[in-house]
Amino acid sequence: MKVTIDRDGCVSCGTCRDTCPDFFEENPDDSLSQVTEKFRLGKNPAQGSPPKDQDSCVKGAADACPAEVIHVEE
Amino acid sequence: MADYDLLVIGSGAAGATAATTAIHQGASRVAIVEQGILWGTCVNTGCIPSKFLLTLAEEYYYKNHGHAGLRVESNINLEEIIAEKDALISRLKQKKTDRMVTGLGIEIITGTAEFVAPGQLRIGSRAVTADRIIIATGSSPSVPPLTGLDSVPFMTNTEALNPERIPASIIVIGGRALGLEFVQLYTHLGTNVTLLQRSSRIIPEEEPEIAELLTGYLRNEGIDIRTGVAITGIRKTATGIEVVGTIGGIEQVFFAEHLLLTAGRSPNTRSLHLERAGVTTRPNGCACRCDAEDNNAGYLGCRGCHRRTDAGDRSPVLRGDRSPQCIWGTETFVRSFMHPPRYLHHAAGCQCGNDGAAGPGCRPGP
Repeated sequence: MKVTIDRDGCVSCGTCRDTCPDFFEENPDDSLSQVTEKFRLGKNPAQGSPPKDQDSCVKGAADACPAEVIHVEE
Repeated sequence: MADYDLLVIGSGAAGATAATTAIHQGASRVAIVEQGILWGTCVNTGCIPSKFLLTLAEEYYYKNHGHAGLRVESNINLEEIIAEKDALISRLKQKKTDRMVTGLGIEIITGTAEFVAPGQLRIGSRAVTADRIIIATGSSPSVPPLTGLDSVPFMTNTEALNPERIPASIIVIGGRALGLEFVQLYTHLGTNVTLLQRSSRIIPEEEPEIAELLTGYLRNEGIDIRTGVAITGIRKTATGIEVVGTIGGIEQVFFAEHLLLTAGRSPNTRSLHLERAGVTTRPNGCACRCDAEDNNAGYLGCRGCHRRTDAGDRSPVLRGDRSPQCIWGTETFVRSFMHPPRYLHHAAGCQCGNDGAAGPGCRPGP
C-alpha cells in the first residue's frame, strides 16, 4: 500500500497523527503532517508504505482527514 | 441481534475516525448519528475555515509589513473571501460524504440521540440498539458568567468566521489557542484588536517561554494584549461595547465595536442522558466515568476534560492503535473533547505545532 500526503493542503489538525501515530508525525519545521522516517518511500516525507498491521489505521486516518489530503493506493 | 455493530454519536473528526476505523477492522453495520451539521467542527467552523482565512489575511498583511520600503496596493473583497471559504467547506464535505457514505457504506442517522439504557438509544421517535456505542459529540463555545454579558451582542468563533464587514476594532476575551487565531486574523485584516486574558499570560497551558515569545511577537503586530484581567462589567454603548476590568487592582476600561468570546468550550453531552448508559458526568457536563474503565479497556474510560494525557486529550481523535480494544472491548465509551486541535501559529520568531512544547515542535525561526 502506498500513501501520499498532499502536504500543501494539510492544516495540521492532527487527526492522522492521533489516529495512527506510528505512521504519521508532525514535521518540526513546518508543523504539517508527514510519514515517519521508518515507513517512508525513499526519503520523501510525503510518501510512505505502512506495514500490514497498520493498514486499517492508515486507511482510517485517510478517510477521516478533514482536509482530504491523504491518498491511499492499494 | 442489535441494529448496528457500532453506532457513533457525532460526525466530527473523532466520530468519523472511529466509524471508518471500525469498517477497516471488519465491522459492517456502522452508523453515525448527527443532530446538526455533518462532519463536525474542524471542517465547518474549525481548522479548515480558520486556516483558510488566516492564510489569506497573512498574505494581505505581509504585503505591506514585510519591508519598510515596500508598499503593495491590495484590497479585500470580504464577500468573495467568505464565498470562497464556504465553497471550500462544501467541496470537502461532499468528498467526505462520498467517501464515508457511498464508499464505506456508513449510514448517517439525522437526529438527536439520547440513551434509554446501555446499548439502547432513542433518536427522535426511533429506537436504536447497537453492540457498541461511541460518544463523540464534541464541544461548543461556552459563555462565561460575566456581569452584563447577557445584555450585549457578542460573537463566538462561529460568527467570527463569517463577518459581514471587517470591524474597526474588536475586543477578544480569552487568550488561548482559539482566541489567538482570531486575534491575529483580525489584526491582519486591519482591525484594531484588544486581547483580554484572565490568566497572567496567554496560552497558560504552554511553557512560559513560548507565551512570552508569542506575546512579544503579537504586540509587535500592534495587538493590545492585557493579562491578569478580572472583568467586572460589560455594557453596550451607542457605538460599541465597553468592557470594564481590573488589572492588579486598578480599574481599566476597554472599548471596541465588537466583542468576541473565545473563553472555553463546553461538552455537548447534556441531551444524551449519559446516566442511563452508566456514564456519570461532572457538573460541567464532562463525562468522567463509564463502563470502559470497569471493563479494563484501559483507554477512554475516564477522562478529565482538562487533563492532558499521553493520548493527547486536546485532539478530538481516537488513537487508531488503541481503538480496536476500545471499540470491541467495551460497550460504551466516551471521548470528551474540550479543546479544538492545537493551532499552527505563524510567526517569524516561533512556530507552535501540535506538541506545543519548547522542543522540536516549537523552535526559534531563522
